[in-house]
Amino acid sequence: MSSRDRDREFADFVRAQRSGLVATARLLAGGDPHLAEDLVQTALVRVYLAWRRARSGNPVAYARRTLVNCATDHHRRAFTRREHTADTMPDRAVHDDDSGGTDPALLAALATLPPRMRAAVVLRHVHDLSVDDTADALGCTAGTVKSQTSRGLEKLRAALVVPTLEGESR
Amino acid sequence: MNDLIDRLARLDTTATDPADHEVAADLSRGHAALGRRRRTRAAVAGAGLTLGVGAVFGVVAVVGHDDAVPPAAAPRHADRSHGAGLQLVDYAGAQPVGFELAKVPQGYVVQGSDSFVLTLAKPGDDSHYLAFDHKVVVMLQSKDAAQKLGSGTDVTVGGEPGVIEGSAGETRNLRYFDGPNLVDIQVWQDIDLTDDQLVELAEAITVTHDVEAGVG
Repeated sequence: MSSRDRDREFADFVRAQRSGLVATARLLAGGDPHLAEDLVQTALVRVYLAWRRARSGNPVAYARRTLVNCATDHHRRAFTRREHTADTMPDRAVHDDDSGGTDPALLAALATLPPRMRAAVVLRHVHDLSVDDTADALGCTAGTVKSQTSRGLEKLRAALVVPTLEGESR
Repeated sequence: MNDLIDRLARLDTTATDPADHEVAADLSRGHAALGRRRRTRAAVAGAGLTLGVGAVFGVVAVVGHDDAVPPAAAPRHADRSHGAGLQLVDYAGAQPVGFELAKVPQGYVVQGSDSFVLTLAKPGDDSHYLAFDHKVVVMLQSKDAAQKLGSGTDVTVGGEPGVIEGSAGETRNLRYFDGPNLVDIQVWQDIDLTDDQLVELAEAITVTHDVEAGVG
């Protein structure tokens, strides 16, 4: 395959799949659009470098798996885990809520899940992938997907419960 | 129970298709990453070869060293300011969207342009103008990228500092500041322009206020 063919195929792939990848990345990034864009760009570079391998199978699944790995790598980096001190309160970016049907409470709850568990819930229940496709994207077994999504949903329900004055939940 | 599943499903919003400049930026990042990987592999291979050859000739030199014979001068690297295979010629065609062109590499035409990118290619190249193989591409550095020249060979473009990343036989990128904008000119590896010609080409291209930097 010539480099020209590779570029043409890759450009077509990006046109067709980029928006979906950004939507997934935004959920994996806990609603942060800037981190989501970074993750997608990194993932697409990796997909481009491995385009022959990606196109030999299912390039969408390959890109999804790469994106999940990028998100996991991001959370594993020491810099993102470490707490930073500063003399003054840093300016925080205001995120434009341009994603349409966002559910801030649910996004916040999703952000509390561990990265792999969050990815399992997002792929399985947001994007409605089958258990097998989710397992393929995560590089794990179907059993792991089932247990991760089950525990993820349990944690989400617990996080979304609104306590009442009487101490009951509703 | 199902309420949570329904709420999760509603997060699957339909996003808009990516703009052409976003696709172009993804392709450009892919090209740059591929170039970096090739350079790294070539450097590793070259270092291994140098060590191997150096070890062999080192032994010979120690055995047969003669103080009376001056060491041979190291061969000069090919001077890329001479011997260019291509010439720059005056551009006489219609001016593309967003850019003003005074010169182009001989045998190259404007293949396409929009508010984000200008592509020069050989006549008859039927690839999409956002595919950058074997072409010269002019664009502004993405708004989301660091507005820095980066590392490479220092040059001066129109009195402003610039940097050429990449060396002979590789795809090269000339980045320079044009006012507040960081312009990026990418020349594919098989286009035989010297670094000096690349600077001359940059000085013959005016990026108008209509050109926008991409995002992402």
